[in-house]
Amino acid sequence: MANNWGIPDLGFGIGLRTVHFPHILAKSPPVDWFEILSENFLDTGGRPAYVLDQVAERYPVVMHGVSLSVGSTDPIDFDYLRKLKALACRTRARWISDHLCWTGVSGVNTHDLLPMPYTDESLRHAAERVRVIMDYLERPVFLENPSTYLEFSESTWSEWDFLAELTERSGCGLLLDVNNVYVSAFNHGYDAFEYVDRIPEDRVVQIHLAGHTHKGTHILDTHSDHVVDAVWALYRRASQRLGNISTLLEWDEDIPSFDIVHAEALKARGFRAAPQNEVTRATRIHAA
Amino acid sequence: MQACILAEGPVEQAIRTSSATKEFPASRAPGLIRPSRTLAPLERLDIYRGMYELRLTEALRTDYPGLAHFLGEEQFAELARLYITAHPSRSYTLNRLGDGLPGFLDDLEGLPRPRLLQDLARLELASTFVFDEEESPTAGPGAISRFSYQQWDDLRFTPIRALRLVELSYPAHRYLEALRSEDALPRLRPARTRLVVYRRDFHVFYLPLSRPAYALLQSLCEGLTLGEAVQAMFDAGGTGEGLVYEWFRNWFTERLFQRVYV
Repeated sequence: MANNWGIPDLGFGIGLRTVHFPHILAKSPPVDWFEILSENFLDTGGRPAYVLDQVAERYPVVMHGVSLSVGSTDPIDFDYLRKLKALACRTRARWISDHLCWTGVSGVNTHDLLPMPYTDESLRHAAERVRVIMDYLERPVFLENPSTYLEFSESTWSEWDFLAELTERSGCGLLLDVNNVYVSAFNHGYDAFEYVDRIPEDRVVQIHLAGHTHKGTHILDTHSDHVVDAVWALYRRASQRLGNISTLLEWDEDIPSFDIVHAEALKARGFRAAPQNEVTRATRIHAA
Repeated sequence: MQACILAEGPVEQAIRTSSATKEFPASRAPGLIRPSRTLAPLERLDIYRGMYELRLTEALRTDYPGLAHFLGEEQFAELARLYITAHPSRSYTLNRLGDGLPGFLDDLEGLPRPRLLQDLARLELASTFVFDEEESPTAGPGAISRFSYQQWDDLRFTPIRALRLVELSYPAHRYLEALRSEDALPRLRPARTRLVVYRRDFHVFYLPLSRPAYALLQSLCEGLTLGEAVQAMFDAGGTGEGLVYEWFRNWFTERLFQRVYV
């Protein structure tokens, strides 16, 4: 299934993390692509910027941010957007993604991906902000379904329908985080497979995978472990529906060696439904 | 919701703070959130509250490892909680969350060894600026020799961007260096300490300076000519030319300047 933007499958990527900088620079490991956390590179000109430049020379880079705050009622931060745009230019980023959330109001930033009420009003509000943001960035933006720990009583939309409608009204695309689907489904008691089945397939350009922490009463999206079997099953289902889509493994706490993280990302190959006929950087290099 | 996340104390207390009740009456709060199979509405809200404090405390710990180590886990967490309450983040980046911490410490009472804590904080803040600054081109010693001796009084020196001058009451850099290299931590005694904090090859270094050397470098960084800076150095109780040559040789070796010009 082709997405609306004709964005190709980049293969299996991993998040660029500081602890792996020396390994990446020294070994140039055969990773298909890297995703960077945009905010980590916006205001630093030292080693992170140097490493990013090196990585961007050698690998496709995708930018993933946490500060668009499309659900906030604060004014859009155009200074942030300006820097984001400059970074995208510098890294020749294939695309920019963020989250369906708000991060703060009244000038405060909680640095969390706070849940939105899924109502007609919030849908109109978010769609308008996303349009403005995309106009400024002069490129589509892809929004990720967040892990959430509460739902608002006033919500009248399911999250998947809200996202689908948001893509229609704003023209944005989606980053489907199947771990987040699993986490939120557990926390809110809905069917994770229904979520994956209802996402508009022509709008998804990327999938996230990650581990989480089960607290008994709820699940936290900690990115601190291997992907669990149930999330792999969701990934398989998503892959059956959406086809081969750029897939990224996130590991942000208790980060193991580069090789372990990379191996976890490559596990995704075994869960893809479509034939593995794409020639990725990893397969090219291994073949050589 | 945000007011509850930012408020101190248990969640039941947080929903009753004046800032929270501006958003909605406390009695309505539980009704705004659906319960889950396992958690009541306020318990669900409390998850976000816990994560907020942890995330911001961790960001401060990253920027202030020396201060955190000196205070210990519990005391640093308490300091972070007080600071975050007084100075919530107002930026998309956590990189500059702790910029107000040294000033905050200045006003805080009941701290153990407050001057040393303030020095550690000021030095670590300077280090974060130096770490994040844009890379600069660097000038070697040849940058001076291309000028005739008669021009030297009029020379100006542009420091690299990743450079800060810090004056402290304790040699706090020794603590940070020992911590970084996992050596035994020194027991610091008060001693007027002047440092240039700079970055070379993407590492942050501390170079102690004598009082006249500090005065000279500070003047140069402020844009004074070499002649004016040397005069300022003498005014600060300066020294002979032999040492000045030695300082400059060292500063160029450490690549502290990006340009020398008239």
